[in-house]
Amino acid sequence: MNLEAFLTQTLVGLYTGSFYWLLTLGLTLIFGVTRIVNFAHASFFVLGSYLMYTFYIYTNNFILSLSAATITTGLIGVIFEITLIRRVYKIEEMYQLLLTLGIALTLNESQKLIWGTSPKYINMPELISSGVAIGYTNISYYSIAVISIGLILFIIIHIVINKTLWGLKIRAVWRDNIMAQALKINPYLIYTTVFFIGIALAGFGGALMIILHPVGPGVGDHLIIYAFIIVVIASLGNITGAYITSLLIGVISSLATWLAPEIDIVIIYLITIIILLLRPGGLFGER
Amino acid sequence: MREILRVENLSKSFGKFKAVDNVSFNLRELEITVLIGPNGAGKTTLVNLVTKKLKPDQGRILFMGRDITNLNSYQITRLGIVRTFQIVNLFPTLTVYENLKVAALGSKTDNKEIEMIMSELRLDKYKDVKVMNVSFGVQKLVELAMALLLKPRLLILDEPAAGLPREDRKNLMRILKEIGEKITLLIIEHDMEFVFELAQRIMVMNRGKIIADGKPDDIINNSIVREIYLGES
Amino acid sequence: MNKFLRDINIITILILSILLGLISLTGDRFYLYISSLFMIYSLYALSYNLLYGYAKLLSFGHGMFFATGAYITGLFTLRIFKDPLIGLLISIISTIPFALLIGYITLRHTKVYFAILTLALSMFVYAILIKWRDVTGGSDGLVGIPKKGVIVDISSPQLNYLFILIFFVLSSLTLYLFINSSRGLLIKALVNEERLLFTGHNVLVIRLYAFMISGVVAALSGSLYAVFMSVITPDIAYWTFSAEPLIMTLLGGSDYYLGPLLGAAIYVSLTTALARFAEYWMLFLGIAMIAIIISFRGGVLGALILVTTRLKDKRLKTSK
Repeated sequence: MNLEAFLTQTLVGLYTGSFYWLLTLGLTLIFGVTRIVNFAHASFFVLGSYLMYTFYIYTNNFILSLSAATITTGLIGVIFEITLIRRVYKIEEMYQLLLTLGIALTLNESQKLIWGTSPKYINMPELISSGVAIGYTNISYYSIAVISIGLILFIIIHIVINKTLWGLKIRAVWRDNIMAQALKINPYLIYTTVFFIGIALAGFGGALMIILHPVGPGVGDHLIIYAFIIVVIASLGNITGAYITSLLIGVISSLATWLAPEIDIVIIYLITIIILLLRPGGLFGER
Repeated sequence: MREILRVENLSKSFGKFKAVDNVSFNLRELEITVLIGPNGAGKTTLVNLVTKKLKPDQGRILFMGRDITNLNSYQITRLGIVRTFQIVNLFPTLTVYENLKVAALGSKTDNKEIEMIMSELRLDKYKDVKVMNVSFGVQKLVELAMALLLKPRLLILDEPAAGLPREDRKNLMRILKEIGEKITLLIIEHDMEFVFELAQRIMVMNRGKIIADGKPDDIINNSIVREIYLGES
Repeated sequence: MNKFLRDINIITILILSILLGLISLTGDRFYLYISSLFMIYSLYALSYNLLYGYAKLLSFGHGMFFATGAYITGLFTLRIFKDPLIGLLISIISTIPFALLIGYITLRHTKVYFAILTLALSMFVYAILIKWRDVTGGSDGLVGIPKKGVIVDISSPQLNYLFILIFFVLSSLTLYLFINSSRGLLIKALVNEERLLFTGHNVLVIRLYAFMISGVVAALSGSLYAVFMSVITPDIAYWTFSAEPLIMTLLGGSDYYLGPLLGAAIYVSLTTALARFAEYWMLFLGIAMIAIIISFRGGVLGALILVTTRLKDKRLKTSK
């Protein structure tokens, strides 16, 4: 086995895993605070990609488009939260899950109608080609940037939640909604804020992804599975677990595709099932 | 009288809160025992432990000589320990008859008995009505009917009279007295009139412990009990 | 017996069957096609509602039974013994232990983990179907599943249709009789799990039973699908296909036995007859789903029944 190839594949895995992390961070935040498992999360991720595409076509400005896509996605998420999701906070989980599934379906189909069914991508050769050489392969600066962004986000979230006053409020609502209300924290404000952040993060991830990867119908369906697998293995609600598991799944996927492409996805799903059977609560325990 | 239920050193804590604190007692066959005590004393928790809705942190439970500590709810129900709930807890979308039928299936009783119980408790006219559409009083009767259809040796009733109007209360008392002649009863209650009409033995709980246990006359005169009830109000 | 003959669900199924039978006489290929699809999806949705509406279990992996049912029939008739009827029977029989196994693994988990576990399992099946090219044909799937067999020959569209019709009628009636039996009552009682435990019943076993029957009927519908389409691909195991019976059930109404049939009818009409507007209809379904969850959970059938009872009450009031 070639060490250089192994390192490359691992880096690719970390890169993919970072995208999973961008997807699952928001999912975990939303679940932790509102207890809602957002089936539509990957649809918002993909929405971010499409918005990035459209904004970039019009402005040709990377940073501007990225910010606009992120914020717009977040705002759309907030609209859904206020109009629909708020109504189901107090009812059975089964219906919450079904509602978010309905939203996912609606978003996916709307995207098909607005952007069509052929895959969209952004052509930015400068970003992809420049990079660092390891042996014979070229690791683009972009992929390093993505991995770093993932790590930085992890650190930021950790600091914000654990060390700031606002983070304290989040933790209060996370643990015990009723207690939080007694302490005069308005949970609905927190819910909406966290929803915005979570969905915006998803949009951000999607916007970053379309730079290198075409996005079309079906991408969201594929991503949501991986997102669920990751958060459930990591224990629903565990942020650190989500980060580690996202990277792990990314790396394992990458290595599996490299070493055993005939059974790569089989391995991933098999691992998931085994872990869920042995440790139904997930590997890390709820935070 | 033989011992039907023996509880030894039963404890259950929720975090630091000791809901049931090292409780031990025996129930004698065909005796009507009423468990009283202020709210939060641990009465329902004790019942939940005995009926395996909760797992005890420590202790043993023996039913007719058999250790049932590690069995689960449906198993002990089949052995003959049947309970009712404080808040009515039936199958809302099923009819009265269907609710009873589920109970009959649990104890392998045939349909004739269902008809009998329905007429005894005067539930016939509600036979095909969905349980969620009948009045509270009727729901309580349905629950009682289900409990009886399960052929209990020990019937545990959690506040059976709660929320019932006076008429229904008297009716219930009469029915329970009849039942008590053939089945051992353990009743949690607050209504003192109810308690003293029915009880052959009273156990008093406070803060997770049984602080008094004996005949109704003795309990009335027990100073600790008086302090708890009169002191607290 | 009398009570059954007067039962509205049974009457509806019988009338529906007669209408469907009449369609076969017309020989119109389009109507035969759309009705066949309706019957197949109806069974699929009925099997799903047994879990969702009656046993109160939300599964996202139901497609795994449809898919394994289809593939077993396909593989058996293509490779081992060329007869659709035998293939279908083998498929149903093999699903029994498979469903029990899956049920045993998944049913001990709480609602959300159960949903996600079923999702992962069905994706695992999908992964196997797509990767095991030698056996399953990979993404190309199985082609040319035979209709002309040793025992039955359903090569003609009308005979194929009758084949499906017979299974449709038998299954929908049998399932209905089952849900109204004692066993079925226990499944209905899963609405209050705690009370069921305290009524001396082993809830896990009852759930397992429902899961098994549900899986078998789904496998049956998958088998009929395989023979009908002659071509099957792994996407029937992809989770989005598992969401379809869920949507059909919600749309039609999960509170009533025939709700899923109505949902299947609507779904099939929208996606085939009005295929030109397919994208809009899928969007509409998504919105309908949201609307149903938020406001009216009874689905279309529920709404119809509510309206007719209100009209009946009005009439009673005015006649007095």
